[in-house]
Amino acid sequence: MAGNIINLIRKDFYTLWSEPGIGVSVFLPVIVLSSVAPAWKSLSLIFLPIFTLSYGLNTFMLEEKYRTERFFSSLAVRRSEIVLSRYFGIAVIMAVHLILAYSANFGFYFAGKLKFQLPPGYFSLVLMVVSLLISISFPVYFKYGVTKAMNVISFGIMAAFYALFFAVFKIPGLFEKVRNFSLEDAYIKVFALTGIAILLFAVSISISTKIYSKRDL
Amino acid sequence: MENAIKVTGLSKHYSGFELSDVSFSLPRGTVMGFIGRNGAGKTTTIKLIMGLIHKNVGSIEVLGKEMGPDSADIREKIGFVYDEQAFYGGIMTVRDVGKMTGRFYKEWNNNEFSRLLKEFNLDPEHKTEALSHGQRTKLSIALALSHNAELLIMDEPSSGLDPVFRIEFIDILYRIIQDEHRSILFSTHITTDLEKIADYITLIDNGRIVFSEAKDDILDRYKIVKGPLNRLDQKGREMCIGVREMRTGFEALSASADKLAALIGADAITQRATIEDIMVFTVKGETNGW
Repeated sequence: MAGNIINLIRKDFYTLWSEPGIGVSVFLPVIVLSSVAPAWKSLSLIFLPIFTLSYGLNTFMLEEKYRTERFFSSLAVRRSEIVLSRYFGIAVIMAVHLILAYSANFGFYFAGKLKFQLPPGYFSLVLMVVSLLISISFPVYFKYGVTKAMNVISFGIMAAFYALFFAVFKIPGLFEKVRNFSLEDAYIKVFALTGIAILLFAVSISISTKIYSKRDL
Repeated sequence: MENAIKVTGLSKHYSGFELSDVSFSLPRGTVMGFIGRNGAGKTTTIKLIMGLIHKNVGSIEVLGKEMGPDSADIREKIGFVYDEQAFYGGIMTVRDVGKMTGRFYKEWNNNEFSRLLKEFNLDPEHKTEALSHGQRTKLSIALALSHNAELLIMDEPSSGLDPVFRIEFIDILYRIIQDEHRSILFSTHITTDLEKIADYITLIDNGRIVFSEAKDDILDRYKIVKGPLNRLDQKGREMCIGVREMRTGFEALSASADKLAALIGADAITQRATIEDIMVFTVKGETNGW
């Protein structure tokens, strides 16, 4: 099982990388932004979820573009493995981001170029935001496919951004609170948020597996 | 005899189409031709057997186990070729597709894959997006034959192949079934391919199985009878499965050819029916020319 999931993730990474335009636009910014994230502080919290979502969206989109869904489902692969590979692919992207971000921060800090160390809260906020977005969008993709789900998801994302901007302007100090939390060394909050994120991810995996197992390809 | 595939009472409902009470068996070590016109239900049946779509009623046993969407262990032993071969575009080459596919099979044989590519005249460095339909089919066949599959399921594999390769392809299938554990389910429009290789023929029409029998029995039973149209009375028509009426006379498929010929008299000509004749007459029934 693990072997198939790894191979499916490799397949998604490879096809994404080999697709002209997508490889550069998904992977490169994540790596670059991850490296400079500590310097940009909470700005990276906006970029990473966008790029992670873009990765997820593109894996589904390429599958639809080349109609390979039936091809992979006819191989010695379980539907649940296909679902898990998509979620674990996201987890790999997040892990790469966080490792690079913390390593770069550590390097800059000890080189005297930065005056702060990235707190654990940053890790949990990234995890929380990405988990929330993925947990909602993936079951919809598995149910309807990206093309059909695109309008609903686009509307959802736009609504979320408008709500965010509205909240930032209408609630004094909200942005500061979020940013400070991300830089705050509060371990209980970190564990609580990480736990919620993992729970969301797990529930979403279970829903997507049920949806995809029932789908006619 | 042990079955490679056993389908019993299979039904699948779509709006506008219904696959109804489909039952047939493919004994191990044999080849079954699965025939029928477009939209008859061949691809739906094959998708159900592969676990790509869900049945409403019935059971599907493949290699002795119940088949479903998560039956990866059964699919490990199946080589699947389908009409709509889809491979990733971009920079993926024929070799990359083989490498990627091979990772999902325990018994993948890379040497066999390379040998087949050579035999099929496929350049491993060729990008898949530049392959013609026939070349894609060849690649699909190479993938299906490179992991020691016990069962080959092919949905229209010979459509899009040039006549020369089609003959080679039939020879390859012939070689495969020399191993008595290997079985083939082969859906096609090109029924001449089946005359050479099939042991069993299953005809499907409007989502229902018309017959599923040994090819030799079918060819022995059904005959074409030709004669003057004015000699074909109601009793004669009742002996026909399908009749084609022309100005010069009639042509009919009958399972009681000797009786029909006797009824027509000295002008009757009886001849061997081909699988195509059997399919066309059975599906079309009685018509004024076609």
